[in-house]
Amino acid sequence: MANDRTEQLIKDVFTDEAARAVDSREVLAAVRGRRPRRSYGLVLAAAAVVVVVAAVATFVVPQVFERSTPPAADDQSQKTTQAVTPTNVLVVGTDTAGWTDSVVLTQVAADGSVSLISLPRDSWLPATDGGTKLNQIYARSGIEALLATVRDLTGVPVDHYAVVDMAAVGELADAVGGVPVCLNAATSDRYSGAEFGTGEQTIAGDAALAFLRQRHGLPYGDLDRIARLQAFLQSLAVKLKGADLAPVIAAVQGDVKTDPGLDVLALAQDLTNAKSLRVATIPIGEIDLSTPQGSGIAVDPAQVKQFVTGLPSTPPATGDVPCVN
Amino acid sequence: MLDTFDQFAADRIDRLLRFATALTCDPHLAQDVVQEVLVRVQHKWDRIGALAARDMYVRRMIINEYLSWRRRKASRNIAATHSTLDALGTPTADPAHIYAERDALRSHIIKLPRKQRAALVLRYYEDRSDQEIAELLGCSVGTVRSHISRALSTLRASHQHPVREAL
Repeated sequence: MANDRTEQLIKDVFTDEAARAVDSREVLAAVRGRRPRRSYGLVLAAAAVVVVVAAVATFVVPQVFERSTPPAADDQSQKTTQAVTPTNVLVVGTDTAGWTDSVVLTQVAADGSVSLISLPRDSWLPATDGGTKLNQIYARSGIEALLATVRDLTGVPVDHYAVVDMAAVGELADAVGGVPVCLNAATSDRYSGAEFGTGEQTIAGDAALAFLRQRHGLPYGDLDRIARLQAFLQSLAVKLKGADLAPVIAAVQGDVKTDPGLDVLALAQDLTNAKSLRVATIPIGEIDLSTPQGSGIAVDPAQVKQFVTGLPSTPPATGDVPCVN
Repeated sequence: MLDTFDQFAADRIDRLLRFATALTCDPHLAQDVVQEVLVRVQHKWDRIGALAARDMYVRRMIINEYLSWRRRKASRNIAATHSTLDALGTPTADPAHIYAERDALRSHIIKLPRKQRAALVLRYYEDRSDQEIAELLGCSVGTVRSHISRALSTLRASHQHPVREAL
């Protein structure tokens, strides 16, 4: 039976669709790493969540460190009152299978301003390892390879890292007494367990986790999730000023790993004294790029470098946390 | 001799993902559907692994997972067209008109009733016989033929009066 033109087009549409499938290795790893008792564990979708923990860990843990430092340690406090040392730290969030679902470049500039720049996990890098998605590099080649990749892509001399294991975010939000967020529209999604109404609301515990995990039913999927993470981080930063830190530290302890050379004390000082905070995502091209590793996001290294260089001269975020999808 | 689950999953996963992606028109949903199904298969591997028709069985699980997801999610199902997604990205020189016809058809396929869409994917992507499609969808051969013929007439009609909204 010969196909007519419509039938041929239908075949073409399905063939195109099938080619957008995600990388199967990622799915296999998730299936293997998953405990059968948790029916909707969502190891992969978990993602972005984790950066929150890292941000808080770099923010808060060392600060308390300093408080508990005996007064004799004067040399230390003198050092931190000097001019800010520009620091670039790559904060990486991993799921239980070791995939990096969140990659955030944290920059402290000499003027004391701080930028958090998200790099989408599906960014396609044709020149790295013969072509790879960003989220493959850490699991395959380790943190040094990921640092080198981010240096190449952004032109920023990234010298430090913090790797954070997925955990603790629900407890973290609980520990600060909930984090206010705002949604453009009501949404529910069974995969993440998300169930939210429209408008401003304060989330904690499992709801916070679901808020940061959800990507189904959102207009732009993973990109909306990044926007949620950014809003959540901004809101959390506000919340942390004046919060009781002991339970916060208890929530995040043991989930963060940093390089030996990172001066967490100095970094914490810089972050807590930040004169301004900028939260951004690198410029992206086609977001449904067909790659050998499934649907990816196109990025132009020249554009990214230009964006990162120009970021300090753009106006910082205002106090208002924007509503998100 | 029984395969291990790992062997089974490694051999099948690419095809399952592609199938689920064609079925859902959403790579990320397909990922979660396949992942969810494979976790359940792993859990019950002693039983499923021994089935003669286990491939059909797993495929049927995927279809059911997709159909039930759609049912629960009846309120809103956003499936952006390629053109919508392109609008988000950096503007580039655009060979899009070549794909306009295909894109328009895709937008109509997405709007089809879910069982019709599943029947189309099984017929035109998987090249399944009416009998196999009937088994996979859990309905009669007559119903399969009716799903496919209704879907085709909807798509042919839309084809003659192309909707401009996707452009």
